[in-house]
Amino acid sequence: MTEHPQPPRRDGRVEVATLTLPPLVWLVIFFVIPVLILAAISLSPAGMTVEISPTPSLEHYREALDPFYLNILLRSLGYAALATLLTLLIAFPAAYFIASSPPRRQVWLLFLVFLPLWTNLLVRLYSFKIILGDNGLVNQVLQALALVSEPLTLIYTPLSVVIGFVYWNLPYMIPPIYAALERMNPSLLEASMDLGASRAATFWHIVIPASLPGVAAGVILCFVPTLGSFIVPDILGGPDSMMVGNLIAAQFGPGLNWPFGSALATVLTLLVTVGVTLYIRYAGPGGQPGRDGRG
Amino acid sequence: MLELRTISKRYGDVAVVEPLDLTIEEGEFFCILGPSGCGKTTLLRMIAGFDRPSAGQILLDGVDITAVPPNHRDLNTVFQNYALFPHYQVFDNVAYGLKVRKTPAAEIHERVMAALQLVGLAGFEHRLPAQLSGGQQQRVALARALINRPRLLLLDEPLSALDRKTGEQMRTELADLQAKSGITFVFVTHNQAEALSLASRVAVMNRGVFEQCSTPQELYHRPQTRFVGDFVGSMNFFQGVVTEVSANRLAVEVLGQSRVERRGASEFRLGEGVVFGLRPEQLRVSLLEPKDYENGLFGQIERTLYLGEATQLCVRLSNGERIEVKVQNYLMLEDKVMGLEPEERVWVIWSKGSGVLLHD
Repeated sequence: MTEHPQPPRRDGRVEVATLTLPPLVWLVIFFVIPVLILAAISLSPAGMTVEISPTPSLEHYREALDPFYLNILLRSLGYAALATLLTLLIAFPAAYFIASSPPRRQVWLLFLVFLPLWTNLLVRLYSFKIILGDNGLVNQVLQALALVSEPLTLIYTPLSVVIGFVYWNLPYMIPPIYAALERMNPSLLEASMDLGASRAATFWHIVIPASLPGVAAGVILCFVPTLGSFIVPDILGGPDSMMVGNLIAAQFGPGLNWPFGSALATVLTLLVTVGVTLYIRYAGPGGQPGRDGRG
Repeated sequence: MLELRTISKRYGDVAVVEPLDLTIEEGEFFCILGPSGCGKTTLLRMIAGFDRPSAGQILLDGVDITAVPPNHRDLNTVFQNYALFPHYQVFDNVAYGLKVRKTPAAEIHERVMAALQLVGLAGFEHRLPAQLSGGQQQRVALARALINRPRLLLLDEPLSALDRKTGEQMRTELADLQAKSGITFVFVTHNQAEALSLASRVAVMNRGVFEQCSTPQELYHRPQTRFVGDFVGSMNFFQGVVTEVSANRLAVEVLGQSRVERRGASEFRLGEGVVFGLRPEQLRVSLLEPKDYENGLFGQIERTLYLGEATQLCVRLSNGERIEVKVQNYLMLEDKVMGLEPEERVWVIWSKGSGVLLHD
């Protein structure tokens, strides 16, 4: 890293513009415009369905902030947080193991991490019905070992939803943590030991901080899609594990209340955008104040 | 104080370090010099505890530490790439060893400040490593190691990542630091100038063995092997046969015709094949035949290289062998051989006391 970075050259601006233009166009067409349409629909007066009204109303937002719906939103945040935490607890040792394997084995282990993505999520979630069902694999094993007499109710519970999320998220959490650990200079570990630190102290003082950029990226990659997910609770959840994603999907589907669905979606989008921005600013990759002198 | 007993390291069939013995005394600035891949870094890593020797023992102050993990060895390492902790400020990097040993905060503060003062980095304690130049990072690495007051400081090519000027400056500072701290230094390098200028003793390592272990002066003036002569400085070598041995004189025939004579007694036998080594700066060129106190070889100049203070010449001898000569230019003027052109025929001469004879 140079001590005094050169100011960007003036003649580099054309290149920068050329390189940033395609993603910018893509973002505008597929993100900004749809969100604006959604926001416009959400401002329709009560009773209207799909049309964009000339006289905006906040009616649907009032409804969205009703305690009943707020409760669902809070539950979604809770599920997403819990699922992300559990994913992290499983993904970290896995990523650490992969990063400390010989290079050839690393390729194979990463291949195994990505392997589930070759199959449609829907199919994989239905297979969890078989695993977690009353006569499913888990219950059969537990009964065969005489650990339980009656089958446990696993499926269609908050537990099965969280299990589903953890399963879904793992291939998105392991790679960024692996990448961060793999990038770490291995002589840092030797330097730490050399200075008298035990293995545990070295892990805590050196490995964990080195992994943080990857952990931060992994947390975003897992938390955000989980928060808005409707397919996992739809398949593995019961009536009391409805999440905000299911609620929104219902408004656009059977509920036929696009303006209300749009209001919910807008609230969720705002929440995620503000949350992720704050997160990146204060905890995200390279964003911790003072960590790289930019804080 | 540090003793290696028939220590060796093998990876499968490949011997990286052949069984070797070494004793380093208290307060020494010991240097292990060798080309890359000679096993010097592996040797250092075994002393530090990062690699386990395949056989042999390491003793520190008479205690066998062969099986002791690195964090329980009373020594510290300065790594080639410094291995500073990127997420810690300079202060916390230097304080690391004291912190993990649960030193009181007030003492840590005092000792870190003193260590930074020692390496000339007072006022830098809140910088991150990435905000420092290579030379400054090097000083942080030194402070981080020396603050623990180790019995032994290991340095793995600490100057090789620095630009030449900074490296030479750090060389002086390293010598000062060692003198001030009195800590025994073991320094690994491939740079002979660093080894010669810093070390009290140098071990030249090649293919996993010590070729020679002696003072820098001895190493340069009396290399014991062809490798040492060539690796430390540069040297011209000739095959020869001993043709005359007496109490105070030795004659060797090189290139089938020239007689090379040396004064003084020697351990060589009549008829023995030898290698005769001459450093370029021991040679002069002349248009006149050698005097009776000189030896000489006749040849043709192949090229000359003007270096300012000296001239470097390559002279092709009658049998096609080449000899490198480096002569101070004031001597070239004195001998009236300044401005010689390629193809000119000259004598390459040296005094009969010069050169080393090695067993073939």
